[in-house]
Amino acid sequence: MIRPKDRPVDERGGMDFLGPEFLTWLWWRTSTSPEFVDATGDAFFVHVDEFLELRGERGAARKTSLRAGMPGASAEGKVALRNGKVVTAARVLFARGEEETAMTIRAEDLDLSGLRPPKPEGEQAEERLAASLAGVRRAYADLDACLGAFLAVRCSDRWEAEAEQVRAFGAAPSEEERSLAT
Amino acid sequence: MSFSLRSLSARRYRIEGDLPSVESVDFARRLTDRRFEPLSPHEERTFGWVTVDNCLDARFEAGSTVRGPCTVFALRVDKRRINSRLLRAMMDLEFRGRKKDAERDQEGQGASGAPAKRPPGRVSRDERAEIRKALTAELLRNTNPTMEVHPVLVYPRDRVVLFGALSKPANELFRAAFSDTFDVTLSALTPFHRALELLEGRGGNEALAAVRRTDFSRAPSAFDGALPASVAARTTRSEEALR
Repeated sequence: MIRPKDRPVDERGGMDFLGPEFLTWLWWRTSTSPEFVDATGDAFFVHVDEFLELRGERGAARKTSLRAGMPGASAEGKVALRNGKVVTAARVLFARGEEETAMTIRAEDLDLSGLRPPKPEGEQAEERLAASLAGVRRAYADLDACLGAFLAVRCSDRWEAEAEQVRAFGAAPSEEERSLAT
Repeated sequence: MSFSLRSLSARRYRIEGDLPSVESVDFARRLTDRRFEPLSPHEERTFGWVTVDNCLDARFEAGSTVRGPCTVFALRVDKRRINSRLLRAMMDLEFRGRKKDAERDQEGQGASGAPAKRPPGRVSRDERAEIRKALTAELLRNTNPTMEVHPVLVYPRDRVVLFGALSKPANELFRAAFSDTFDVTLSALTPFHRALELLEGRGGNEALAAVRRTDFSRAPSAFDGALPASVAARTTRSEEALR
């Protein structure tokens, strides 16, 4: 490929939408079936928690940020999805038994912020640090497991049906709307 | 003082190329070669590797960076930034002083009857540049540097590096420094790049070739019936305008 020397290669491969679509799908998937399986066959659960950011194609001008509580169950989140916005950042919780890892995933580059590995055990500081570093590694492995599950559908002929379910999820009243109605 | 990991914000990179064993003398020597050196009085920026336990310690020995499943060190960046407003104010004072001196000299020359060479207080472009340079150097000497320290977590078995900062300048600097130190290339594991790896068994690029953006919206059908025609038309127009 010929390109100007000082211009970097597009590391998103011209597919800026892939990350936001993944997080949008993850939001839907966790609200209907939160169980995932990692590379070793162990099950873990994913929960969208505390923070959700949705954007339209125009970026910041059409941004919806939802903080605290359960933004995934809010009416605002669903309204944003119905109107064509996609999830660009979400705080998620990976739970495996008693062990919980929280992190904010930024969709565009899969950057993680505020990643809190499970509280490490051990008497020595070195032991605890080693356990935390292993926890970080496991968090990335779990993220890859979720991304792998998304790609398995995204690159198959099942995608249209799945996208339709995401649309139906957006169109259906949120838990908040349902509770208000009753 | 030791490094503890309570919370991490990081970008993930894939190491492309052969990284020396993290327990080897070569690995420690490479870090030492590019270790952090404090700013000299005239420098504006400096960076280099330090140990993760102490940002003042830049001594590396074979295996000293290994912690559990990975090796950990840090990138320290010190910057000294001149306040441009302060520099302008100092230049202004300098020019005023020179103008006064020139006026005093001219008065003296007037009394002695010698003709004036140029209007008092006018400073040539070269003089201006010289003054600016001298004042910049003085300010640099008297300005305390700011310090940033970002952890670097290398998982050699996975060929992955996590860099503990998300800003673009810090990441660009880190990539250049890491590549320079270890003669390897780093590729950011963006959703696209990671998808290529995860879909390797299905042809990577080929599997992604047919993927197009999906529209998850359902706005028109959900609300068309509920809104009065005039309002619905206005909503559609404003959405089109936004696109």
